[in-house]
Amino acid sequence: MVNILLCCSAGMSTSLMVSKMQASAEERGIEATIWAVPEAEAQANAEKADVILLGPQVRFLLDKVKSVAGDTPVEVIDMMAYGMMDGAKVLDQGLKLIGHE
Amino acid sequence: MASPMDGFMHWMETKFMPIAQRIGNQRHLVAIRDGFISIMPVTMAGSVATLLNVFFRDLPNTWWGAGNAFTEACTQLINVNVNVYNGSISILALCFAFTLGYHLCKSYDVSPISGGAVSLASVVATMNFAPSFAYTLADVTPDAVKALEAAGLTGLTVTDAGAVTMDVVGSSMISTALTSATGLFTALIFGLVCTMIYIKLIQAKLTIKLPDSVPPAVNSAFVAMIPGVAAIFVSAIITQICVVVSGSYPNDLISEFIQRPLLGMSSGFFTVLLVEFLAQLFWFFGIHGMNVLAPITEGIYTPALLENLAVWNATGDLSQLPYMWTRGSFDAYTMMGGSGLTLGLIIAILFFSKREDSKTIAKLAAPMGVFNINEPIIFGMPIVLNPIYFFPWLLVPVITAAIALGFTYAGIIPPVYIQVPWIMPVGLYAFFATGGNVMAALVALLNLAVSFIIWLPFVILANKEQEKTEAAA
Repeated sequence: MVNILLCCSAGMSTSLMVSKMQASAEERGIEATIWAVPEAEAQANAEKADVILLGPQVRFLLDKVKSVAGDTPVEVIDMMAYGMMDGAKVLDQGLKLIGHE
Repeated sequence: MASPMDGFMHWMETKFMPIAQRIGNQRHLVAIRDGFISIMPVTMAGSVATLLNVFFRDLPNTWWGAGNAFTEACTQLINVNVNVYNGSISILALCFAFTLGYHLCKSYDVSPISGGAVSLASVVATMNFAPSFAYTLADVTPDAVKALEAAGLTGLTVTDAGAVTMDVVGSSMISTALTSATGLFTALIFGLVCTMIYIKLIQAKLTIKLPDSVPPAVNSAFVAMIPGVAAIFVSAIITQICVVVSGSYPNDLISEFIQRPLLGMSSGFFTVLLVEFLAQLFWFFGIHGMNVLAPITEGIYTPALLENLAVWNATGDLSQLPYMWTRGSFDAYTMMGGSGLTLGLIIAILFFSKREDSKTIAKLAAPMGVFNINEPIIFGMPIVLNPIYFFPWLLVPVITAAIALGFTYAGIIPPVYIQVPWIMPVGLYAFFATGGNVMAALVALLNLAVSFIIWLPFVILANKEQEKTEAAA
């Protein structure tokens, strides 16, 4: 079971990313909880997450989110993968950070 | 392939990221932004109520005259909306005082609920509880004024409508002028100052310490005591000094000398174009421009919108609305399909692009673009750091803002005064945000057409660019 938190300005565009990633996880038979929140709610959600991925448009908040995330790894989603809404690739990025598989 | 352009881009990126970072980490600015975002459900309720009454009452009254059967039949529905308005727009400065204190405390890791309450109390402590106002004397005709004055009544005035009013001073009441949009800056200033006093005193451990034998829950209730008392007293003392020295309450001074000039300036022609330009510039480096600028847009353009809404409800006259450009104006006229008016770009690509990569992205992005989400375009095309699209990206929002401002200043379309969720599609947003104004929707569509015309040559340029690289390969 992996918990991946996505975070962008309003949680809107990342919510589409979430559904693409979930589809990819299902295909591969990975049990994953993936959800998206606006940047302001990152702190409240950080605890439940194994990894936090930031939308590239809020990458300037990387340090801020890292400071509230504790030991949870935080990374900015690859810009191109985000633009293409490539769920599989972003899922890989998240799994790699947790050291899953 | 490090061209001079790449070097320039890199230089800009290293300059821009720290600015965005600094704004994003400035606690007070972020608390103001989050404070406004938190009262959104409340202001949205007031906006919906106002909008419903436009369709139940205001538009039917202009179509069929006052007292028409439709509006009569809707009387109770209209009253419900008035109640909603009273519970939302009329008291939103109080809601904001709380949410501001809450978010500020949260960022300092201080009990946010107490902090929000202290902030609210501090703001209320600045208010005049004995307001003077003109009370309408029912059933008194203007010719009775002389006799009443002879009997010793003073402060009598005959209004233009022929009613007789008397100046009176109330007691134990607050004017909604203080608790609605006009009071926002007072809430902002006193909320920030007093909450900071509260936070700093708690951090300085200026708190009552009880012996270890006292249960922790009791102890924590005492922690906030001295800081809270101090914060509210400071607000009350400043208020009294203000009253004694100037004869006015803080809100009178703040709204006249800070709020009104600041909001007036912000809705000026060049200020708006500058904000549009900066937001786009941030986005060009892949940074959410409106998010970075949110402390400004939420802190200044949202109060302007709410003030317009309050004036509309008080006067029912669109020509009285004080501010030409408000928070919703950005979305209504310059962000259809998302920042940069990329809906125009999507259309241009779908019809005129010969590049498979662009077309794929446009098709993926089109359904989201209708609802003003455009990250796929920005990062997928990409627009970010893409020299081909640099100029239209900066130009389109500035030009479309100028067009909408021109129409607004000319009085052809009313300013935006109703809050609308930002995912509302093109035209509909402007229609609802201006209280059902068809011209406003047409201006939004005109801007979409203008953006298409500006984007198009650059889509064709992108075609040629690819032909060139293919020929070279």
